[in-house]
Amino acid sequence: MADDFERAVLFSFQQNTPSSSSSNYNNNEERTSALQQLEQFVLSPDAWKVCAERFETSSSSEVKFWCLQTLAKKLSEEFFNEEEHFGSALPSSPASPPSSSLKFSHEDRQMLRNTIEKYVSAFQCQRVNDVFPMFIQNKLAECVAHAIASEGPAKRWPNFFENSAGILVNTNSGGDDTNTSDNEDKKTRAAFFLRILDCLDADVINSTDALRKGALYVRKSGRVKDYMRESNIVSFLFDTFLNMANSFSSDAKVLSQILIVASKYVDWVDVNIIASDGFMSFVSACSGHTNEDLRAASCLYLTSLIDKGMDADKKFMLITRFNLVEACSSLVAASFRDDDEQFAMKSLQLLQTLGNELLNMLNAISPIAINSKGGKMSVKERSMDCLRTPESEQLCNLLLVLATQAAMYGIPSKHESAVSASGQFLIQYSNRMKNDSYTLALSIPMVQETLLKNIIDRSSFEFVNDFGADFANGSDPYVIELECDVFALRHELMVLFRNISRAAPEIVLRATQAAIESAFNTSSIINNDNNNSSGGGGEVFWYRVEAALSALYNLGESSGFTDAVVNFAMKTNPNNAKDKNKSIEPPQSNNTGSAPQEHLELTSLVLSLVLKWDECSKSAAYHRIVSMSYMELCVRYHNMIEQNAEALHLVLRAFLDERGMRHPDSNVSSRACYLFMRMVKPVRSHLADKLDDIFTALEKPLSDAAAPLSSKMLEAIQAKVAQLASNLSIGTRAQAEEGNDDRLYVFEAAGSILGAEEVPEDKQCERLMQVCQVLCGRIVEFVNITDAENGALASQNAMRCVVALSNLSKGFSARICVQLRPKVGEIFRSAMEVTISCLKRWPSEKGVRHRVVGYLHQMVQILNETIVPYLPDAVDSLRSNGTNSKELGETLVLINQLSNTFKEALLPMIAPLFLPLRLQVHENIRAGFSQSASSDEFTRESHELERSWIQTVNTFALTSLLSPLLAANAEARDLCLAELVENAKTHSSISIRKLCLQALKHITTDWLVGNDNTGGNPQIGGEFSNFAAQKIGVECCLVAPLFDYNFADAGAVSAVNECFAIQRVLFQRIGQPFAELLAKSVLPNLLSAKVDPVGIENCAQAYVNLLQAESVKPKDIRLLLGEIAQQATFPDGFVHSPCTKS
Amino acid sequence: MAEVPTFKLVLVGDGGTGKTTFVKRHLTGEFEKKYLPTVGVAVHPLDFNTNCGPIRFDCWDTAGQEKFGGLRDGYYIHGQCAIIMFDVTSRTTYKNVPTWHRDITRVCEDIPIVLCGNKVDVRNRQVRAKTITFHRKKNLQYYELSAKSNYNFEKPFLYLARKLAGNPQLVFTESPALAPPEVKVDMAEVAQYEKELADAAAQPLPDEDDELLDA
Repeated sequence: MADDFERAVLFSFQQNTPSSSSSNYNNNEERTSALQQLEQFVLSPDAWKVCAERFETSSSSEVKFWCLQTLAKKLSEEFFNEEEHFGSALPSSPASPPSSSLKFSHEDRQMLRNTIEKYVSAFQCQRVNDVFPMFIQNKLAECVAHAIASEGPAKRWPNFFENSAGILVNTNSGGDDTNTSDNEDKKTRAAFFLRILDCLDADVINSTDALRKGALYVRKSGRVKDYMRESNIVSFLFDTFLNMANSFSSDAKVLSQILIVASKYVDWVDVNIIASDGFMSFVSACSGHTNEDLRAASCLYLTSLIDKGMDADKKFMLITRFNLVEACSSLVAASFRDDDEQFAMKSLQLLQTLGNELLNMLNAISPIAINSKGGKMSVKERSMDCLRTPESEQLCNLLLVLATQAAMYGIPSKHESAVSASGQFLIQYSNRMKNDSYTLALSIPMVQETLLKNIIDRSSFEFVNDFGADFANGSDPYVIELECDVFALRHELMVLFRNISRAAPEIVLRATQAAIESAFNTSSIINNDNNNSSGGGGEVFWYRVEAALSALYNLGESSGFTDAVVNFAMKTNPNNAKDKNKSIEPPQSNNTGSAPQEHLELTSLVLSLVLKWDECSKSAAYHRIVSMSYMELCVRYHNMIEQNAEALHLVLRAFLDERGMRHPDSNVSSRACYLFMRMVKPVRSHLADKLDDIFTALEKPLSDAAAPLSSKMLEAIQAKVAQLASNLSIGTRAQAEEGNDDRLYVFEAAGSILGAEEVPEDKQCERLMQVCQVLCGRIVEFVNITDAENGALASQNAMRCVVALSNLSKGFSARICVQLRPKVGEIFRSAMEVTISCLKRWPSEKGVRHRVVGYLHQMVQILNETIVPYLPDAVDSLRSNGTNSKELGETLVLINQLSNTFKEALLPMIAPLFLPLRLQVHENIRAGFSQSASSDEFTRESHELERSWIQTVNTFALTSLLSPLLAANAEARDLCLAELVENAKTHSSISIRKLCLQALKHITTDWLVGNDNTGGNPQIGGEFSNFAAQKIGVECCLVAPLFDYNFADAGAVSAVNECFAIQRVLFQRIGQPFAELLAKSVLPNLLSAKVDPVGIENCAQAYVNLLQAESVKPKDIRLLLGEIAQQATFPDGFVHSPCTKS
Repeated sequence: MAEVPTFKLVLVGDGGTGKTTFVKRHLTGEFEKKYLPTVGVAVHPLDFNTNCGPIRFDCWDTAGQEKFGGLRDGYYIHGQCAIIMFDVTSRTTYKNVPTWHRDITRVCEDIPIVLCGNKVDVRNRQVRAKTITFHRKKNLQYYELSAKSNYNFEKPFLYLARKLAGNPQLVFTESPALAPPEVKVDMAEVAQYEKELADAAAQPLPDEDDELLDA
C-alpha cells in the first residue's frame, strides 16, 4: 500500500488539467502541499539514500523512475563536488554545473557502489522487461553512467566493467536458448549493458555535448576517456562486443545495438582496437546480413570509422585493406533492392562520407591545389605524401569512380532522403568533373548511360503519380503537398544536373533530347494508365512531358548555356539570322567567332519542341502542371523563339488559349497572365502585325481582371498569392502583398504590345482608349459608392484598377507619349484625374495611397513635365486634413522625388505649397511630441517627420527651388532662414545640422553677389550680408563646431567640411570684412581668456590663410579647429548642444 | 459513439521558445504577449478532424526551465509523439535541441518527433536555415513556425497524425479554430528561408564540431 512518500510522488505525475483545477479544491490543496514537501525532501542530504532504498521496495514504476531521477541528479553533481582526486578546487563560474554543497563520505561512496552493483545484479531476475520497463532501464543506465564517471577515474571501482559484463553479458550460452523467456532475459541484460555504455557516451563522454556545456564538462569527459584508455577498458569493451556478437549471432537486434553503441566510441578509441581484424570481420559479416537494421547499423559503424580523424595514409590504407568501397557499393546495391528507408539512407550516407574522403584526398594532392598555394603544403597535405605516387593516385581515382557508380544507383531510390544523400556526394563529384579532365573522361560513360536519365526520371511526378492524388486538381491540399515535395527534390537534383551540364554540356543536351523524344514516343504507351483521366490524353504521360520540359528549362540555367552565349549561337546560325549583314560580337566566353555546336543544337532543340508541341503533346499540354512548365520554358527561351515566326505564333497561341490564360484552373490562368507579360515584353517589336488577333484573344482576360471582385474572391486571391509565394518553386515567386494579383499583369502585357513604336498611332490610341475607359469607368463607379458597408470593398477594387492602369502604362515610353504621339500621353493624363479622385475618396487607405503614388511615379516617367499641372491636386489630396505623421512623411518623400526630377519646373507648384505644408508639418511634429508621454512611438514618428521636412528643404535648395521661393516670399524667408540657422546651430543630430548647412550654403551662394558679379538676387536686401556673416558664418560654422562637434565622428567631419565651404563662399562674396570679423572680433573673443595676443593673431592669420588658399585639405581644417577648440572659451549667449553620433 | 483516438504528445524545448503560446493558439485564442513561464506541466487536448475521422492530441506542455522543478523527463512516460521546439532568434535554444531529443528518446523509444523552429516572423533571426541540420541526422521532420501568426500551425500535427495513423494520405478536413494572427509573416522572407533550407538540404551534413561553431 502506498505511504505518504509514494502518494506524494504519484501526485507529481498527475497532470494539471483545466478540469482538475476546478473539480476538487481539497485535492488540489493536498497535492500542492505534497509537492512542496517532495521538493524539500529532494534537498535533504540523505534523499538519495532513501531513493536508493525505495527503488528496490516500491512496486510502482513511476515511483521507481522518480527515485532513479533523484539519484541520477545527485550522481551527476557528485563529480563536481569531488576535488580530492583532481587537485585544485574547481573554479566557480556562471558556467559551473549545479552542485550540492554536501559531498559523499567514504561510507556513502561505498554504499553507492554497492547499491549500483546490487541494481545490476537485480537484472539476473526472470522476466526482466516486466520488472524493469524500458524507461526505467534507461534511467538506471543513466545512474550507472554517472556513478562510473564519479568513481572510475578516481580508481575506486576497478572491476566494475568486468563484473557487470560477467552479470549482464552471459557468453557461456548463446542467444538461441530453447526457453524463449530466458532468451529474452539474456537479450535484455545484454541490451542493458549496451544502454550503460550509450549513456556513458551521451551524458559524460560525448565531446560535442561537453563542449556545448562548458570547460568543466570537457575536463570530465577527458578524464573518463583517459581512465578508460589507461585501464584498457576500451579494449575490454570491444572484446566484449565480439563475445556478445558470438553469443547472439542470430539476433540481429542485439548485433545492431552492439554496432550502434560501438560506433559512438570510434571517435576517440585507438584505430587498432576499432578496426581490428576481428571487429572488422564482424562488421563485414553484419553488412552482408539479410536484416536491414543490422546492415544499417554496419553502415553507421563504417561511417564513423571513415569519418574518424586520422592521417591520410592510415585512412587510405584502411579503405583499401578492408575493401571499404566494395563493401559500401554492395550495401548501396542492397539498399536499392530493399524497402527500408533507414537502411537506404544510412548506406548512402556511408557512401557520401567515403566518397568525400576520396575526393578530398585527390583534391589535396592535385597539382592545381598545390600550385595555387605556391607549393606550400599544410601538415594535413604533407600527410598525404604517400598518395602522391602514380599508382596510389590511380587507385584513389578508380575507387572514387567505383563509389560514384554506386552513388548513381541511389538516385532512382524511392526514398527521398536516399536520393538526397546520393545527390549531395554526386554534386561534390561533379565539381571535380568540371575541374579535372581525367575525372571527366572517366565519368562520361557512366554519366551518359545512367545518371542523367535517372536524374530526369527521378525529378518527375511519376514517383508520386500512384499515390492516389488527382494532380489535375490544384486546390487539393494533398496534391499541393506532393507537388511541393516533388519540386523540392527536383531543386536538389537539378543542382547536380546543371553542374554536369557545365562540365559536359553536349552530353546533357543529348540526355535532354532523349527525354523529350521518350516523352513524346507514343509507341511506348501503356494504355491502362490510371491517371489518364486526370492527366488528360491517354496518348502521352503528362509527367514525363513535364519532367522533360523541366530538364530543358534547367539546361538553359547552367552557365554553359548562358543567355549571351545562346543568343550568339542563335544569331550565328545561318537558318535563324535575321539580318545577315549585321555584325555580331562574339560573347566573352567564346572568342572563336563561331558558336559552339551544342549551343546551336540547344536552339534547334527548343525550336523543334515548340514547333511540334501542338501535335505531339496532345492533351498533356492541357494538364495544369505541364501548362505552367511549358510557359515558363517559353519565357526562358524567348530569345530563340522570337527569331522564328511560326514558333512565336504557336507559343502566343498556347498562352492565349485553354492551355494558358483560358485554362480552367485559376492558378494556371492567372500565372499565364504574368508569364505572358514576361514573354511579350522582349518580343513586342514582332507583334505589331498580330495586334488585332492578340487583342481579340485578350478581351476576356482583360475584362475578367478588371471586373469587380467580391470580398470572398479578394480573400481567395490574396490566399492564392500567399500560397504561391510559400509553396511553389516554379519561376519567380510573386509577392504576397495586398493588391498583387498575377491576373493584373495582363494589362502590362497589353501595354507592352500596344506601346511598341511599330504599332500605328490610330490603332494604338483606339485600343489604349478602350482599355483606359473601362478602367477609369470602374474607378468612377467605385469612388461613387458611399455606403460604409461596400466602401471598403470598393477601395480594394479601385486599387486594383489603379494597379491595372499603372501596369498598362509600363509598356509606353516618354518618347511615344511626349514626343511622337502626344495623343497617347493625353489618354494617360486624363486617367490621372480619375486616379487622384481615389485619394480624395480614401485619403487614409494605405494601399490606395501607395498605388496612386506608384501611378504618379509611372506618369512622371512617361509624361515628363506635362504632368506637373496635375501634381498640386495629388499632393493636396495626400496631405489632406487629418493626415498623420507617417502619411505626411511619405508625402514629403514624394515631393522630394518630384523636386529631384523636375527641379525649377516644379516652382509653380512648390511656391504656394511651401508655407501651408511647413505649418502642417510643424503642427504634426508638435502634436506628436505632446503625446510622447503616452507612447515612444509618437516621439519616434515626430523625429522622423522632422528629418523628412529638413530633407525636403535641403532638396529644394539642391534643386534650385529654395532660393527663388524664399526670395519672393518674405514670410517664408524669415521663417525658413530662422529654422535652418537654429537647427544648424543647436540640433542634436549631426546629420540634420549637415542638411541645414547644405541648404544655407546654396542660399548664400545664390543671394550674395560675387566679385565677378555672379549670384545675387534683386529681391534680397544688403542686410542679408550681415545676417550671413554673423549668423551663418560665425555662429553656425565656427562656434557650433568648436563646442558641439565630436571630430571622431564621420558625420561631424563631413559637417565641418560644409561649414568651411560656407565660410569660403562668404569670404569670396563678402571679402575682407568677413576675414576681419573672424580675425579681429570672433577669434579674439573666443581665445582671449587663454591665449596671448600674438597667439591669437597667429591663429587668426592661419584661419584666414585657409580661407584664402586655393585648395585646402579637410584634415588641416580639423587640426586648426581642434587647436582653437582646446583654447577657446564658451561665448556668452550661446547654448551648448552636443551632437549625437551620426 | 466511437471514442476519439487520443495520443499523448510531449511538447518540449527551452524556456521562452513559445511552446505555451503555440499550444494556446488552438485552445482559447488567448495570446499573451508577456512571457509567463509554464510551471510543471499543463495538458491541452487538441482536436483535429481528418479524412479518417477525428483525432485528439493530449498535448503536455512542459516547463522549459529546470528551476521550476517538477518531473522533467518523468512527464514523458507513455508519450506517443513529441514536438521539440526552439526559437530561431536564439542560438542557445537550437544548441539545446540534442539534449531534449536524447531525453525524450530515452523515455519513449521509437516515437515520431517533429522539430519546430518558432518565431520566424521576427526579423532578427539568429539561427540560419543552413545551420538547421539536426533533423536530418536524427531523421526527424522539421517545420518553421510562427505561433504569433499561425504560420504552419497545423503542419507538425498533420505529420504526427499521419505517422501515428500509419496513413500518409491522411489530411485535415477542416482547419481548427485558431486565434487570429498577431503579426503578418513576410512571405517573401519565408520564401527566402525556404530556399535556404532547400539549399541546405543539398549540402552534406557538417561535422558536429563545425555545427557547434557555426550555430
